[in-house]
Amino acid sequence: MLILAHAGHWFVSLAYFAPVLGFVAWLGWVTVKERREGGPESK
Amino acid sequence: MIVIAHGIVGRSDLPIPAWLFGWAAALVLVVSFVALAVLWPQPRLQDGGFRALPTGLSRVLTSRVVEVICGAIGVGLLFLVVYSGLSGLQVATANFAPNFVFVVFWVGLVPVSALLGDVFRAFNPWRALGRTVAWISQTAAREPLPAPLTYPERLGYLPAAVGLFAFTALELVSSSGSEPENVAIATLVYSAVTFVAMALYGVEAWVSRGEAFSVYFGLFARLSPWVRRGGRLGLRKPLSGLAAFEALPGSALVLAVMIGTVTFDGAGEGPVWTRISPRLADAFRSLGLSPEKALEAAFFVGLCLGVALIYGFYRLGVGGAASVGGGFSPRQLSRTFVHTLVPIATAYVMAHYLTFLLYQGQAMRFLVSNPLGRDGTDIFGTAGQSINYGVIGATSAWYYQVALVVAGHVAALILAHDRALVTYDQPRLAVRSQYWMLVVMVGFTSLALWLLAQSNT
Repeated sequence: MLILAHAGHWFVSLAYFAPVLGFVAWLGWVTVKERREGGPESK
Repeated sequence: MIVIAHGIVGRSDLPIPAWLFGWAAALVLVVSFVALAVLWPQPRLQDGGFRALPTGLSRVLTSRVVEVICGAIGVGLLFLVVYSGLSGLQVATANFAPNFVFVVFWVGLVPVSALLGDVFRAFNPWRALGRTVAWISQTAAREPLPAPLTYPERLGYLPAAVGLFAFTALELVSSSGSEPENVAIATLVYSAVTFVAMALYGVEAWVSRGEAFSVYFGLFARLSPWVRRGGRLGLRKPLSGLAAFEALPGSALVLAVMIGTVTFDGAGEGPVWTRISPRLADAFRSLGLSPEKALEAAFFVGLCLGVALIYGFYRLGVGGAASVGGGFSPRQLSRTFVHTLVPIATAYVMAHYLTFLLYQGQAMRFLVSNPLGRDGTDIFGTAGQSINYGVIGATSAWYYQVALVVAGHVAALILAHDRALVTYDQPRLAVRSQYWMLVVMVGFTSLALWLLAQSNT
């Protein structure tokens, strides 16, 4: 209940870190994709 | 838990939500990253260049007379801190010692170092006293007296990291750390440790690697275009002082302490920590600690977590950079890119303590006239002055803080990009490694702005 009551605070805090979360997700996707294709050094 | 408040007041009239500033700052970093990849194809900072000042001016500023005068001023201020702390009124805001140490010295000397260079080296009271004792000993012995021990290479900056952590623990963890008498005692203890270390390893060896404040201000001074080289003063390329930084064991830890302790200080003022700390303190109380000691233990854990968070995030970034290839281990890349944390540390300190410095720094106007805080003392006729809290508005302060944070992280990106160009033999790998450094920079930027918003809540 405490977490729900303070959901507004958490969402606002999360908004500050949305860009870095987006970057990490994108970088993870690029890394997995390149590993499947043979790694960045093979290019 | 310094009694002197950080002088921060809440904002109310920003045109957009504060978190959108974080998104805008991230966008600035991305644009800077792309611009660097396109417009900065060759390393430019590795050769710092040097344009000497006119010989006469340089000779005066680096003369022995000026060195002795600056050292004497430093020693005088050290004695004043100890004397006022022990003999003055035991009220933090009315005594010279805590105000000078926590405001003028710890915070005020950061922008001075970043702009003018290693000013602290000239005024360092421990170095001045150590060199004086060494000179007297060698004159009496009529022969050079080498240090009894060689400074262990493996220690690097680790003693400095410990010293800086201990100082911030005094400021942020101890419930009585800002009491004048405790500031004076801590100064005496630190002085004793420093003198013993200088006697064992030599003055310059200890000052350049082990003495916490010399390492701290020396890192900020590398941002300055001013440098002393070969006995002459001159100008170098902006940021080239950091490109020439030689990483030693403990370099990343020193910078993690510098950024992590500010992180904890910022978070400690916000609602997240104020909800967590009582529960943590309760857990320590259940172990038998008194309420005061339990709260200090909780704050100590918070301070350690702040440092661990920054160190861990940086190591995660260099671990990611190592994964793109090039044959470098995360440990190697940690040392290669550690200098990029210096402008970030500068941005954190300056942004977080901006209002603290501008408000509380004014206290020195009346404290120089009445350093002991006693009734009736008015040495320079300024004892009746007070702090003007209208010197900067809350909204203006926020804009300055955002600008400082963004500028510091763009400078870090420039340093990382320039270093990547000389580290990797393939331009593609250099750029790929910087994706990870970009994530680190965006992460630190988001954290800095969130902390500032927490402080203002």
